[in-house]
Amino acid sequence: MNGSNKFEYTAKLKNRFLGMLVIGVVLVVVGMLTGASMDRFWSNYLQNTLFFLGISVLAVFFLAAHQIGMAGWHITVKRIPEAMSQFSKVGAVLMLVVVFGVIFDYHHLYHHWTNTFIQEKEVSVEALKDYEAELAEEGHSTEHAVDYNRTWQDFQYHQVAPAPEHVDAAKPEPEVLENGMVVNPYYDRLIDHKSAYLNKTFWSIRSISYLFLWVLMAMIIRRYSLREDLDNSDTFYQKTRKAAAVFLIIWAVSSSTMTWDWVMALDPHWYSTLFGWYNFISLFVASICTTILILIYLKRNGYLTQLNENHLHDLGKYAFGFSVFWTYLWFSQFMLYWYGNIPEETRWCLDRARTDYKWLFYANLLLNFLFPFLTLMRRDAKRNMNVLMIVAIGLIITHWLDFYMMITPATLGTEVHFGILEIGMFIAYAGLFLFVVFGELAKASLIPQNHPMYKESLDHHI
Amino acid sequence: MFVSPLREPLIQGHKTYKQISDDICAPVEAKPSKAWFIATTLSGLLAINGFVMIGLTITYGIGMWGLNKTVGWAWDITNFVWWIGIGHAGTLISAILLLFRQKWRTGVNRSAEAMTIFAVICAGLFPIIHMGRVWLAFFIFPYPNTRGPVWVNFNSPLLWDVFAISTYFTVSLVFWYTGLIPDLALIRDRAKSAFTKKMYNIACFGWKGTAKNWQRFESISLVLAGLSAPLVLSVHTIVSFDFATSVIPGWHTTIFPPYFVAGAIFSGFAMVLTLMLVVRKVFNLQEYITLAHIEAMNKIIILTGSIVGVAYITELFTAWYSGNPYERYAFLNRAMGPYWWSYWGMMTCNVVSPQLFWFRKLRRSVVFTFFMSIFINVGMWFERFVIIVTSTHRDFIPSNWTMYYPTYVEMFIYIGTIGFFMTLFLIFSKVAPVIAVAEVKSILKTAGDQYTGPDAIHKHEEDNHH
Amino acid sequence: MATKKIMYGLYDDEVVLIKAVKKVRAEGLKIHDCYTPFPVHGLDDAMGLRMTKLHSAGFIFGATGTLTALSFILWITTNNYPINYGGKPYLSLPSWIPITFELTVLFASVGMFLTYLYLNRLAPGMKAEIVDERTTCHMFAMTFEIDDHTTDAKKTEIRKVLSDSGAVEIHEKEL
Repeated sequence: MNGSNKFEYTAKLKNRFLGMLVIGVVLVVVGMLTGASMDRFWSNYLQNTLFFLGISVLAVFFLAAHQIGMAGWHITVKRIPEAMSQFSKVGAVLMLVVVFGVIFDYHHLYHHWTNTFIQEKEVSVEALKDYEAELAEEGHSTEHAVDYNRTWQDFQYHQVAPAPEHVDAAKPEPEVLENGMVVNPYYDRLIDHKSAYLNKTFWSIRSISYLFLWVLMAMIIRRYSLREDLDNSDTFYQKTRKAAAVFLIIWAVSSSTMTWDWVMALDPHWYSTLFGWYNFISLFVASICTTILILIYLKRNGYLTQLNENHLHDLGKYAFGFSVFWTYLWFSQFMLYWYGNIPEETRWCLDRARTDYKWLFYANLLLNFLFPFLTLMRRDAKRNMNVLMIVAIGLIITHWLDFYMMITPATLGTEVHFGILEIGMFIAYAGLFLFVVFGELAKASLIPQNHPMYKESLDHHI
Repeated sequence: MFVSPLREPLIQGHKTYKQISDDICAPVEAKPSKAWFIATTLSGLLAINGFVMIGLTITYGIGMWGLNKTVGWAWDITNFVWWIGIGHAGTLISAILLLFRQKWRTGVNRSAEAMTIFAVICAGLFPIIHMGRVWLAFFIFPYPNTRGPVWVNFNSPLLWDVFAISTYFTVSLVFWYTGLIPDLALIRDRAKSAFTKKMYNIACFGWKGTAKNWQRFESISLVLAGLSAPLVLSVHTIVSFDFATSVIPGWHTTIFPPYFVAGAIFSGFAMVLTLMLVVRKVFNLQEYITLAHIEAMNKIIILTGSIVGVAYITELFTAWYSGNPYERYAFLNRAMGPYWWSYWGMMTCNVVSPQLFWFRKLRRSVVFTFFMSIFINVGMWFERFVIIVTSTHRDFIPSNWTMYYPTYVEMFIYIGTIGFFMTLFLIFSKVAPVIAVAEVKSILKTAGDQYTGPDAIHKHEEDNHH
Repeated sequence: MATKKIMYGLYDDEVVLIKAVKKVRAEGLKIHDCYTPFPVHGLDDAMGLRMTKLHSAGFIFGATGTLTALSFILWITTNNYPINYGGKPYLSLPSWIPITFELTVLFASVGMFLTYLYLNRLAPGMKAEIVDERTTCHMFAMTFEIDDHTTDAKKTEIRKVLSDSGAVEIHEKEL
């Protein structure tokens, strides 16, 4: 084990991770049994799948970007993001459960636009009555802000909470038109407009494409890296370069569209052009911190002897720099919406800054900015495994909370639900992620000694 | 320090330290050539013409321009953003590439930083002259006064801009000059005449080059780089806030900050290439500004050009997705309205053409790169024009819709700033080394072609402090 | 400044210089200074120089900038002459962030630069006490301070150490 280049995946470690998975699942079950709704389950499922899948795909990004940039220092580090990237296979399957849920209707995450009734301008009287009956059954009041005699040019906003003054005591009956239909009072002009993009078919095709392409590129880049171990020329270096370029092009588009499809579409009346890049960087910081944690674990257990504080320093720089960049993106989005003060845009921010989520909303900024900024500023801090470990753990949790804050108010409304279910789900996913990743680490040498930049990496000092 | 044989050498010709000094100081030590005199005279004349036009504007007012009630900003602010954007490459090359330890930056950083200073000077002219009553320009600074005291509006992005541009100019100047000091000392020590020695000694502040001097030099360079990196992002971000904080369709969008920064880097690198391709030819510095440097800059051009392209796609998508009819119209108008030619010019120059740099042969072609760099800057000028003019000339109320046409005064002011920029750069290239001599020397042992690449003859020496 | 007497050796390669510095220090000789045309990695370690605290000064200057900006704007917008701009609250922190950031960077950079000039004794008009004009071009100098009391034996020892470690020239000079 000491100084060995092959990771020994002991039964003890495996069991530890499987234990996490089991404990997590148990906590989730307990949470469900003690009153958590299915909506809450699915919201957490989406959040965690997205988070951990995102971490693994951003590991591919790390490898691709460094390949294209002709980086040499990271060779002693690179097997870790490679192992992380292979979790994308598992993450993709877990995500497919969400995708099939949209196709086969077993969850309501995207109900705002999978609901086709509200996309029709005129409906039959029976259909209207059926819809209202369904609403009453599900406990959604039919009493707020329904004016049967609006025209379809009006549109209806998703209400944050039912405003009592808008409850109609007595509603006039809807006026039947010449063709026997009535004007649909629930018609949502915006959703109807977006249905060319947000419809089950197109959305599913896009989602499956992202998953397929990411996993494909992750596997190709990994395979080239493993083959490089057996090859003494730079053939695989050049092949990886091309694969990296292909991945980066795929990522350039899919990083934004996946965010629009999976996170922004939870709240389809809202939009922000920066949202895609904001999510991308949030995941990138989490991915770097995961790499740091795994690296520290390996180093503390006697592996990676050729890795020194200089490599750690560079990873610490990434965590520092990209946390600052994340903050910049957070601020850009928030400040511009605050300043313009346009209701369509500010509503998303208000759902988070003026409700019970407000503590998390502002703490998100403090934790993901001030904490890494102050702790990692000094050179010594970035080279110290203890400091890096604390900061990395902190940032993973706080970026997870960032996703919680993006997703949950949209899926569950403005009441905060945080309990055993949320904690259990995170532990389960973390256990599964670590189980898969450490398994992958064992499948290859920990440091690819045949890589053309290997010697540069050994000699790395800053 | 080991360097992989896959890396291309950054200094050609098996140079020694003395040869590096000789080659790079030669243009400064030689008498100005006829070409230099002609170029400086021509650009100087353009500059003077531009200043005359500025004089006309100040004397007779903004009515000398083509602005109207609907289109309050046009060529003036387009030029301002264009110049600031160009300036960003210098800081990026010095600061961000230093943080990323890219050795190739040493061939171009001195000129790029100088370019930044001159570009910011040119940029800064526009906010001042577009005020009209420029003699009241001091109003924009917060100082105690007897009018209340009336302070400036801290809520206004126009004020944030004042602080941002002032800071950017100051910090860029400091960063550039810090790096220039040792090179000016080199010229001082090589100078033959006592007068030259004295002048350059004053300029280099009496630099000695002791180990402690250099230690502090490296420390301040690293910290200034660490400060300049977020600074350069913040400056163009604040410039983008001038537009994004409004409610105008086509302006009010959250992607503006990083999109503007990427665009700035894109145009800045193009301008660095335009300058460097001429400089390396005229001053015979091809062995220091090699195809490796050019290729690296072209790669950054694909990267930033693609980021700009993704931002365009995102804006177009959101213009549709948002369902906001004003936003949708703003973009339809761009593509198909009376300024369609500027929009398609922008798209071609910024999105389509940089993609050609995926081909290695084109990335390493000096001629292609030169024309492309000019193309890109033209495209980026159109981008700012499209954003500013097409959004303002037709916004919410159709009865206010109108056209904007520039007057000859505005056009000559713009051309004048180009002349001014060229003049300043030509003067710089005569009095200071256009390449950072000390920094190039420090990479000789790792990136010189006698140490790496196909012509290498030396093995890498072990560093002594392992 | 009083004139100093210097004995120095010139080297033509920085790797040789670093080895020489280590050797000289091992022999217990006190180096006055080294002059190089560019920053040589590892030289300050070899010479046993203390790390500069310039970056800490930078941090303090920057923090001063942050506090100055925030407190100044706070005072103006909420106390001295509050004005209602477009319905924004008097205390509108998001608006102040850009200026605060800029002043932080400005104070840090200018403060550090002036400190740097002061520490390195750089100013327009300062006289440069250069041992040899070639040290900014392609030579590397290691200097020793000598005075009228330095014995010839000592001088010979210095000469020997210099030439053994690869110095291509050895000189004495008065600054």
